[in-house]
Amino acid sequence: MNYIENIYVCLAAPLIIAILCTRRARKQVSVFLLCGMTVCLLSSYISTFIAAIAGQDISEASVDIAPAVEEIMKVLPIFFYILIFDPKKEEVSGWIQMIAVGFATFENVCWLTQNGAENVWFILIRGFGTGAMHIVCGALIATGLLYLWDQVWLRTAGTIGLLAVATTFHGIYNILVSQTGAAAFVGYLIPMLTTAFYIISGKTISDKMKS
Amino acid sequence: MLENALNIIQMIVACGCMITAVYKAVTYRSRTWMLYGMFAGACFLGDLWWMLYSFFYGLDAPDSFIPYISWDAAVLFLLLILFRFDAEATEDTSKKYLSMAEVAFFVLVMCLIYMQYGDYVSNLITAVLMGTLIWNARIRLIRIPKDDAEDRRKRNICKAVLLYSFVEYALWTASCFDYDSPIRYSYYVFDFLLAVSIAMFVPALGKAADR
Repeated sequence: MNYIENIYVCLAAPLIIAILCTRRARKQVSVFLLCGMTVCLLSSYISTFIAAIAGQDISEASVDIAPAVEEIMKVLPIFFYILIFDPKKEEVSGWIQMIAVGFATFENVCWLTQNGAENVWFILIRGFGTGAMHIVCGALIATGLLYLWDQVWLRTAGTIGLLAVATTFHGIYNILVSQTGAAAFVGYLIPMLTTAFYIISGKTISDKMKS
Repeated sequence: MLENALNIIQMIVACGCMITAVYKAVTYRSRTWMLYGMFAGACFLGDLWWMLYSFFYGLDAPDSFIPYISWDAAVLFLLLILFRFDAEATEDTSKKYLSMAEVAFFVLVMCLIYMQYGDYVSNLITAVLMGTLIWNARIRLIRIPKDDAEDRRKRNICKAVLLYSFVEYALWTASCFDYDSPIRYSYYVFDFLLAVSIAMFVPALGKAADR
């Protein structure tokens, strides 16, 4: 039995206290981390519900339904934030990453409670792999959403396209990590290498595209 | 076996085009090249998902929407490339609507045929996107004059889009036939031509997208 609601309460409580005690940017960091964890919890409910309707088991749903549900759920809080608060472009990019971090953290903790924490090397790879994958998908959507289109309708169409690309990237990751041995290792490695590439050259690319 | 080999060729071509496009996008600060990179990236990820799923789960045609949304996203990015090349309306209104009706009729008939073999929703989405893409390429080909080199390059992009659309429809139609049918062999030819048509955008975009 995996009590994800209990885990959520345990992880969300310090963040809620942090939201109440801190101000401005620090408060926003906590809010978006909490949003990431909340959408992760909701995604698991929605994925399970759709899988039950479609008659799929957990392994089928993890490569077919979960990537689409998780990617859509991850961008919803940021869409809400953009629509309501009309923030600066630079701020939004960071908040998308915070949601991704919150999402990956909650997913990792749930995975640990289900699979144990004995093998530190595997956990190290798994932790970095999952974190990197969610951040890559977030960065992909953020780059398109903020830097590539000026008009709102072009931005909307482009973001939908990038959401589809992020879903496929997530799907590829889930296919590989649901295997054993070298395939799973390659699965964890792909987002880590993509993140390394993003860290090294991403800033140069986004700066050039902005100008 | 042959299908897998062609899939690998297509993936290599799409990956090569994506790297070329990102390099050109950064070098020339061109959003059009960036969009083409996204198109090639979406094609690559869709193919990769399909191949990995077939390999690990042993299915010839995976019953999932994920690769299809990636390929639909690729069409969406092509459409966004076309929208970057605006052209003044020089034709009669009647001619414009006639052209629109012809394209709509074609994609609707093909959609109804494909619905006999696949699901309704994804075929409908693909038909809407392909119809919009073909019509926009066609109308721009009529509107953009052949006067100078810049316009000729823009026309080449429209021709490349139409070539890609033709090969896609030919491929989908050939895939409707049984494996023992002689027409089915044309599927492999069009599968190879699809890789060629993806690569054709590199010379077609050329300097038209450099700035």
